[in-house]
Amino acid sequence: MADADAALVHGALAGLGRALARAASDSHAADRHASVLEPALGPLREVADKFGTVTVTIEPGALRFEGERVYADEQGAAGFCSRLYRDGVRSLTFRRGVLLPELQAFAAAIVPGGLESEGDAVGELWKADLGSIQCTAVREDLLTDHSASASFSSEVQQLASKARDAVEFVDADASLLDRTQPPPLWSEEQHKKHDPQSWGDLARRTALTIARIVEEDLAGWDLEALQQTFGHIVAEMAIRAEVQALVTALEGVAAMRGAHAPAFRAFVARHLAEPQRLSRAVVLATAPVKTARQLLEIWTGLLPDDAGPALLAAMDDARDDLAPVLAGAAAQRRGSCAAEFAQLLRDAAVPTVLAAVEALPEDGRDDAATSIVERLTASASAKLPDEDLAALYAALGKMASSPGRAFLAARLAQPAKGLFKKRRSEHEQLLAIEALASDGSLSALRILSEAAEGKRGHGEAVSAAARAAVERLRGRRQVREGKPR
Amino acid sequence: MSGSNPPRPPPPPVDVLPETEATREQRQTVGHKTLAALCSALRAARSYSWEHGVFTPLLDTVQQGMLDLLSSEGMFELDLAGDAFHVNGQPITLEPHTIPLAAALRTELRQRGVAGIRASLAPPKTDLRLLLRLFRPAPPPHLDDRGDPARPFKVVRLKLGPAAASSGLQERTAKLAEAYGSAAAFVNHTIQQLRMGAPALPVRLAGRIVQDLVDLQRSMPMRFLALARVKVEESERYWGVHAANVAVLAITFASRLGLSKRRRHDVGMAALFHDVGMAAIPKTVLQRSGKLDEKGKRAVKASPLLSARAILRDGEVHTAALERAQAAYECHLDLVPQEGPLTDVGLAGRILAICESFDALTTARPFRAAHSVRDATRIMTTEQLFRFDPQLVDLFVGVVVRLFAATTPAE
Repeated sequence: MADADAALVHGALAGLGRALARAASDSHAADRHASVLEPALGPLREVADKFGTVTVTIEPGALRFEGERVYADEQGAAGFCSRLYRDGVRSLTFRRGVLLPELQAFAAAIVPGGLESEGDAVGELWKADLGSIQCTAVREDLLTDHSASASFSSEVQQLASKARDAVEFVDADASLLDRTQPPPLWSEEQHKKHDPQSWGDLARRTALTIARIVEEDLAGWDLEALQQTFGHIVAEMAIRAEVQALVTALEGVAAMRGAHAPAFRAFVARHLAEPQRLSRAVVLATAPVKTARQLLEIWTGLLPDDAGPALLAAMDDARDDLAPVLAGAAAQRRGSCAAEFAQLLRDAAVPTVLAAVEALPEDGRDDAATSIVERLTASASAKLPDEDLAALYAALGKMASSPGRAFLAARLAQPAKGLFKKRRSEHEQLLAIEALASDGSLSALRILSEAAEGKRGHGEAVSAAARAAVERLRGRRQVREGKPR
Repeated sequence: MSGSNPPRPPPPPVDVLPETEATREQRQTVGHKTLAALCSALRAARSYSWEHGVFTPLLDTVQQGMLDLLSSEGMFELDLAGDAFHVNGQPITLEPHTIPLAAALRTELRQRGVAGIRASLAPPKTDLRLLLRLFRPAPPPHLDDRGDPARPFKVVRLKLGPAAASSGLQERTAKLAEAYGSAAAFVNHTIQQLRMGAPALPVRLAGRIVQDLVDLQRSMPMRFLALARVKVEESERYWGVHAANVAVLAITFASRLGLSKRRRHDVGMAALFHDVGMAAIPKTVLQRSGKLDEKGKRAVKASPLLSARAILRDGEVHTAALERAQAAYECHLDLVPQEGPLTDVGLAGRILAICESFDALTTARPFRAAHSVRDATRIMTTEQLFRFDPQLVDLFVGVVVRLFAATTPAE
């Protein structure tokens, strides 16, 4: 080959090597492979058109053309050349007419770890059935590696003899059919309809099958392995943004029954609590699909008790409307993040605080109320908009906690002084009355009754509101105790 | 039938020609170039119409090679002798990249009973196009020395030989039998290994076995389908033979539906592994001839989930692995009590459900005799219809079972 021709081929193959290495480095971006491979296609087509076929030899870490190294894989043993060599591929032949889809299919076949690939380059190249790219491979004798190969070979021979007998009976007329390929029964449209080949759907069904195996107590000593597989499936679903499939899979775990269900759930909980995965869930919850928000709710619902810090950390990057979901989940795990949770109640946006308060178990209300009281007594509270102020007072009332009541009583008893503060002060007194009415305890009733008596020097509006609240509370209590109003 | 191969035919006679080094070199060079172009053209003839422009440069090369040899030696003869190609009596040494193509050409020629191609005059392009036409997936049913009698060559002649056809057939039948034997033995050994606590399924080996099955199905669909007639008496070997038969039926069915090579492979793999869960069931239950007790029934009902478990414990989550696991579970959904709505079933599971039911019904089991093909079909389309995709059952019965019946030994 002339020097100029050799240079042309070397350049084309080196470019191809670099493009394949880039494609191989990102197995999850098969859709982006086209842009990576396209620049290498032109020169490759040019040399294939010029010489008919171009055969490149595979070596561990390199491509060789006519004895000369044309590409050295920087990744060495981890690169695609070594992988092809390990799998038994010894040469690749590119023929005239290579097209981009074929090159993409070729790249997908040799990229390790893609979800469409089983990881064996020879098998994947065979499956890809490429017309213009062919490979030669060493024929591995995998059968000899098969354990008990002697008895295995003997059984193969016995069964092969039976098979020969069965085939021998195929008569001449039937064998004529061997030479024909009738048209397929299904059209392209029917294939798409009956065999959609969606990984997400397959993974969703598999996740439910694993849940079923565990639920039926059939996991045996494979429980741990099945947990790992389930974890891989969920992780892959998250990477591929299969929101609906994730929701179904996690619902399956949440509803799982059986003796091994708690252990399985605990494993999944740990898996979901990994900060990176949780961050991904927060991103997925913003996906434009119906079930996106549901995903975050079910995901956080499964998290372990010590996931509070991870949940609060995930709020940093969460969209505003998702923070309440995370705060609610953190509230249920506040034992693992008491200080950070208190801080959240003091600083976070009011809707987030309300969601957290809503989700709090009873034994956490005093601490939470203390934090909210701190927020309301801080100097910055003067700048709170009226609706936020009202919401925080209402939250205190709903919690029916001692610190909350003490604060409300104090606010009701000691209105702020000063001309400009009077109006706001009266507003806060009214809010305190509403909150105490919502509290509904005897202590709250007593505080309200005192305010209603008018001896405290409250304005007419405050006294009237207190009287109305007392009336309401007494009525409610009578109904509860079964007395006629 | 004897398993030994017949003696290979001797190389074709070498005409008296000036045997100089230059002649031999020229024959090798031109012969190889012509053969390589012919191989490429014939391979592409599977995918393109014989009139397609894609063949023009290849046929130019073939024609030029034939002309070169005709002008220097007065003849062009390409002969298939044993495994080698001879051009004008000289064996041609193949370059590595040509070997697989030449092997494919050899198979195609043998399938058509063609032992050689010759020309004593410059062949017109139309003859070369007609030669391509013979290598379409659906070739003419009869050939004579001028090719298809309906569209004969003007100059080119074929050398037809029953020996070429029959030796190829012997070779392919042996390969077919070996592939089947490997598949069935593989499943039996895998179940045995699982019983002994094997850590993982030998998926790569299974992949190679199924590749062979898919390739063989394409090259000889009827003989391939006849493999599903193999039955064994020993219940110990039943699961391997059953899985291999299901693979044969499923690959055939998938091929007729027009599924891609990858999907046919997926379905074949799913078939091989669909009953590996039997490894978790005591042999006493599996070999019992009478009715099963409650414990035995529970074990058998658990088998689809146990098969899925054996596949899923490997931790692979790529499409093919999930498909195998799901198909193993979904093809036996009738065994698994459902509380909610019936799970949606993938295509592999629907195909396997039909194929495995057909094979099981036509096989004698310790607890019942084998049904005839007709009875099995009737049962599948009536009392067991609830188990299947009705559309697929119709296609299976109408196409695969009909072909299967055509492989019946003549009375």
